[in-house]
Amino acid sequence: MFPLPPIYYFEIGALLISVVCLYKFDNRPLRWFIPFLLLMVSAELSGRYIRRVLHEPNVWLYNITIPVEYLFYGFMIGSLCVNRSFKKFIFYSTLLLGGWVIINLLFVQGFTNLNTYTLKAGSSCMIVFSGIGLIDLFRNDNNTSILKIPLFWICAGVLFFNTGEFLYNFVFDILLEKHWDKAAKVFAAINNKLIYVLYSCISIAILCTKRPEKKT
Amino acid sequence: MHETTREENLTTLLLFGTIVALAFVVFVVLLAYLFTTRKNKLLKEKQLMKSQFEQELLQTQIEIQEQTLKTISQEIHDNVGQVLSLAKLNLNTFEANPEGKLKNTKELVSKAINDLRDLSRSLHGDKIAEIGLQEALTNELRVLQNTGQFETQLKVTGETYKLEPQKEMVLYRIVQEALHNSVKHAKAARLQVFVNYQPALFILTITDDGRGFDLSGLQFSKTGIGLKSMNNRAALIGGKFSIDSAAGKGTSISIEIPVIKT
Repeated sequence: MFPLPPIYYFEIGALLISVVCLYKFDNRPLRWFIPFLLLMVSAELSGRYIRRVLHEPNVWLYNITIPVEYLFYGFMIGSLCVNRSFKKFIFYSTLLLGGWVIINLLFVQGFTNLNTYTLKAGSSCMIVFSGIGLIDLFRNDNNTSILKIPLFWICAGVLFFNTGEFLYNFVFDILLEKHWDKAAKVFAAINNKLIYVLYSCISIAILCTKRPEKKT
Repeated sequence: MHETTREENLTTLLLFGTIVALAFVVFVVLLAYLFTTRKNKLLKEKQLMKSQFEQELLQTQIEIQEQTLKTISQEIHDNVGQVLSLAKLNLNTFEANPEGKLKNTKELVSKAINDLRDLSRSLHGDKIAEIGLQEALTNELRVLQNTGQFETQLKVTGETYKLEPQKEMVLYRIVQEALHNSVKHAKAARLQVFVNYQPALFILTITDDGRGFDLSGLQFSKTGIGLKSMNNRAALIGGKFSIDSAAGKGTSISIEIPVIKT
């Protein structure tokens, strides 16, 4: 179990930052990062414990937490977008994705197999949603630098992570079937690097969140 | 062996594809940053130009208004005042009419001359600069007090100093507007002007005991437009305008100007 690889510390770091910045969130959607990151850290630690200590398969855990991650980012990007049509599109697509996740989990691939269809659908949705989020930023007329807008960092992180995983997710079934471990290892390394990018972007998004101004 | 080659080929292909895709993401994110930065810069420039234009427009409006008032003041002084003075002179030398009526007429004409003089003084911007804000305010309140309908008070605190003539003129016009509102709309009986000379801050407050109004419903009313004009004037001289009022509780208008002593 220990020592933990650095990616865990990035996740824990993001969680700690979100807790420290709690006072800035007020009633805004960004406050949901705290329970979400708590869930992610717990899931990662539990997954590692199940695999390394109990020597049991942990696929069922990731079949639940990865879709939660997709749904959360869909909800978050949708909430932070300004354009109503974009919001609606993202929310409805996230609901559809949620429906597909449940169907796949219960009736298609089940709990014990890695839900690769969900990964394919999820990463595609994430690329589209974060692209929409960036377009929303283009269209939005505000004087703030884009680097100070949380949506920019969330979209950038999600886009990087999912683009990096996209091709891998699409050929995952083939790699698994043919036991091509070399490709799997290369992509595991890429995935690890992209996790650094993702959680760094999330940490920056939380840090650059401004406290809402009191109306006088 | 063949299988290993295929695996290697696929791995290379995937790796290359992923690198290209990630490079594309970097390009998109960078483009987003550059595009929005440029857009924000243009937006700021546009806002700055708009605000400069509004400022210039306001300045021009005030200048035109001042010029108009100056002309009216000149007219009253040079023409109406002269005619009435002549009439008074005539009445003084006219001895055939009954004495009581004559006296009464003389008093009326004298009052007309005095009123016109006060009016001329209050309209003329240069005169305000000449006599100073405090004196101009005293005159303004005296005119209202003389009507017998209002109780007025001017209270000055702190060590007095002179502001720039243009600032004093604008402040005087704000006071005029505020008093006009109190008399016309608020039906006030007691009008007070407080002038507080602080070393780094000049505070002018105009209060009345009139019927007041609800600040929330202000935007589209005539009072709202008058207040906006006062606010704009205050902004023009770098002042902070604030208002406090409630139905039945009177109105208090305050202007704060930071003082930079050279």
